[in-house]
Amino acid sequence: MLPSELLIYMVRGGKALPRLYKPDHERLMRAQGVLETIRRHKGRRRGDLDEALAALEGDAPDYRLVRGLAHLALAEAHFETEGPVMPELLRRTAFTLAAERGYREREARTVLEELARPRGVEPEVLREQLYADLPENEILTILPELSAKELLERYNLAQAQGLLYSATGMVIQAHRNTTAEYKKLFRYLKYFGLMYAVEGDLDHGYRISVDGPASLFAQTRRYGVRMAAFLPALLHVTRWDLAAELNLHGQRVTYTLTSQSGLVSHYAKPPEFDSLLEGSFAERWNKLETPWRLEREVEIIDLHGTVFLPDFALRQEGRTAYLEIVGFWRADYLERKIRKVLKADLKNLILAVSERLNVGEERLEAVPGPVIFFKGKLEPKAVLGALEKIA
Amino acid sequence: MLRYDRGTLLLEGWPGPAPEGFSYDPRVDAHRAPALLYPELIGSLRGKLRANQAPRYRKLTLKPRLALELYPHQREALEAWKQADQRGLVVLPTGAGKTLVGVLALAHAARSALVVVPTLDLMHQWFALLKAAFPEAHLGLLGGGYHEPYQLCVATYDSAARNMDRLGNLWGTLIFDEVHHLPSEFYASIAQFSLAPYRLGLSATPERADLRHEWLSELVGPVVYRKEAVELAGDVLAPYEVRKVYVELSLPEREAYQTALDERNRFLQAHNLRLSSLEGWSRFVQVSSRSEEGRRAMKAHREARRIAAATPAKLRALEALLAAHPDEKLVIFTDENAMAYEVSRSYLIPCLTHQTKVKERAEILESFKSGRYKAIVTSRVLNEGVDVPDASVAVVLSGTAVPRELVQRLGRILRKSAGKRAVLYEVISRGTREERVSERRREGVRLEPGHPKVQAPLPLVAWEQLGEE
Repeated sequence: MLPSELLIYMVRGGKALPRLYKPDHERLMRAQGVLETIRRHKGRRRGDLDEALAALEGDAPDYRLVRGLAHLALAEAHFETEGPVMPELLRRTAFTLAAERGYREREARTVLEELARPRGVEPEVLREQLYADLPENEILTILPELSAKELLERYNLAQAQGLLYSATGMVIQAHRNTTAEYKKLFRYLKYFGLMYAVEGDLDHGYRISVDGPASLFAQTRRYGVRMAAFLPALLHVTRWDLAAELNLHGQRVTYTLTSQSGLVSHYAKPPEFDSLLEGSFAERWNKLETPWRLEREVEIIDLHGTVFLPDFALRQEGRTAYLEIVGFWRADYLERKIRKVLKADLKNLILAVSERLNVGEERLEAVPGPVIFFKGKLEPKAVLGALEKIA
Repeated sequence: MLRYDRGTLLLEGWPGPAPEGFSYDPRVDAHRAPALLYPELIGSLRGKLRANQAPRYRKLTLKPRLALELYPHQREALEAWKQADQRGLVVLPTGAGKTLVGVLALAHAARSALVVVPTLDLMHQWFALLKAAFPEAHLGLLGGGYHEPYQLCVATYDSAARNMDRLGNLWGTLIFDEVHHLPSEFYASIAQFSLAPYRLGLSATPERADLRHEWLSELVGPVVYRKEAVELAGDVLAPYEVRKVYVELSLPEREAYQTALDERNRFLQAHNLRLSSLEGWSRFVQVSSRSEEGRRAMKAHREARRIAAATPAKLRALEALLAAHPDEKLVIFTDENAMAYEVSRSYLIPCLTHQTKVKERAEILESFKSGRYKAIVTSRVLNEGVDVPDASVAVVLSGTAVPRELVQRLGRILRKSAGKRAVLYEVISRGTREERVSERRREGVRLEPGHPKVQAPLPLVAWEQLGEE
């Protein structure tokens, strides 16, 4: 992400627009220029690199582009202290001697000469080495592994994220995404300490309002940075619109993005299925002759504070059932899952539980829908049997 | 049931409408209130709750193991805080022993506690003090690479703000050192997300130019005790004086300064800008970033400032001052790191900046205390709080127009000892903006009455002569 002073945006008619650059020749050349400047400084001082990057900026008013590109590229680089002397030790020796002699420029020179002689260097060289361990004197050792295109993508993403620093809340409209995508989405929201409320249904899409616990009392930008950090996770969801409320220097403006904005996430892509068990079940189901279609676009069931997302939906002509597969999990996870299922209270939910989990039937008595136990893999036929009971 | 949920209080399974102070939260189908209000709210809920799992702070026996000899003002400050329901601000000048008031407040509250400080130096200083005062307590640090939210914990404002929504129920006492940092949107959440009933804010100068200090009475409490430096000078603090030392730019410097200033002024005139107010300055920042001439004007402005701040004439004046105080300990202040390192390299004086590693800082301060080093140079890290015992001379080579900075820098040399007279020198480039900057920072400070007084500037020629070898 970028520091606020490097953000570029416009406000028009109450709407904020981040400055996103198309990957055209000119911009790619700027990104390339930054990367090449960094590359040329491998093995050289950070201070020299900073000067070269400042020269690259020039006096042009779009200096923030170059500075932002450099900021993001350098986040992937590595610097190290180098040099034959240990600067801290050298300082201690020199400072102690100078304090004994009295603080005068001439005495300082004498001290440096005395220390330089046995080391076989010039006194003025030694003076420079006093602070070889400052960041500006560190040596660039590892280059960022980014292409010009990737760097520009990171830049655009960071600009889009940056406006969210000022967000007091945001609303995501999501349509027909898969369970795995939604699960990842809610997991990230939770990870970033954000809160959500869900309204809507499968056909009209879901409206997920996002803010933080304290947002209930007053508009606060306290959660803005977390919403910004969440954005790359949202980009892995297929179909959505986002509308955020911003407080930009006291001005209230809206900020919108969609899944079509062309932004590219650098977060790891979520797996297609939440577990191998689900993947292989889906494969076997598709070989089955049945009017029930197995779908991964499911309803989101809001449980106030958390959501329940069944693994699959089973549909035919206006009839819908859900399937939740409970495979190999730790005991505490299982407890939470059972509590969620009970709270969701769905009569058309089939709960398939692995026998390896050693769950007693009595623990599942209160589950309103059918419960199947399975050994090893879950057979589609067993699920079909359970579907009969619902009908 | 009442529980703590990420900086708020959550009341679940409550029959009927939300009780006073709570709001219904449809997101979780429960009632929610700001954690800050915990002491007020818990009174009316008592007896009606099935369970109160919100506070996790504990009673602690905290008996200071240090022999504490109190000044009257310290005793009065503590008493005033107790009278005010253990919530409020104590305003005392630097060097008047605010920290000790904090230690006594911790002992009085006898609850697990968090001390919040602005810098890593202060974090380590408080840690050492608490270790000496309460050797049995489980001590921890939050910040500077540590995450130890233990029963007695010292945190930086940054780390506390980042983590408070997960930790806000662990401590019953909060102490904010240099509390004027608290009223910003991000840092305020430290106070808002905590349910601590006991709160103490310490500062020499709580007032902020943006008036946000008014917010402090909600976040921490009202000012319960206040004494100014002039009221304590000579009594608790060493008598002091502030002297100006003027230096003259060389001819080439003067020309370069003027050229840079002219370039900047042309731009200011063309855009009808004035730098006399904070507003005018931020307009300049904004407008200048939009064009090539603007950016050049801003660069010229910085160049002019640099010429005035870092002229070699100042190094010569410094050498003269060092020679004039051969047996005293000096603290040298600069505005920017580059100048501090320049001084360090020129005279081999140890340098402290925010880049200095924690271990080396401690060692430098220790050697300064023991007398192995007789001077230190620093940019801004010593502006706040860090103890530099028995230093009696401060040299301000460059600084900002902020009065608080002058008060804080002065505070570094005011700790009283027998026969001590403290002196602060402001080294100013004549005929440059620095003259105005100096006036501006003095306007906000009461220097005259009583012992302390501003002396007439020393004759320029003397310094110049002393500077030439």
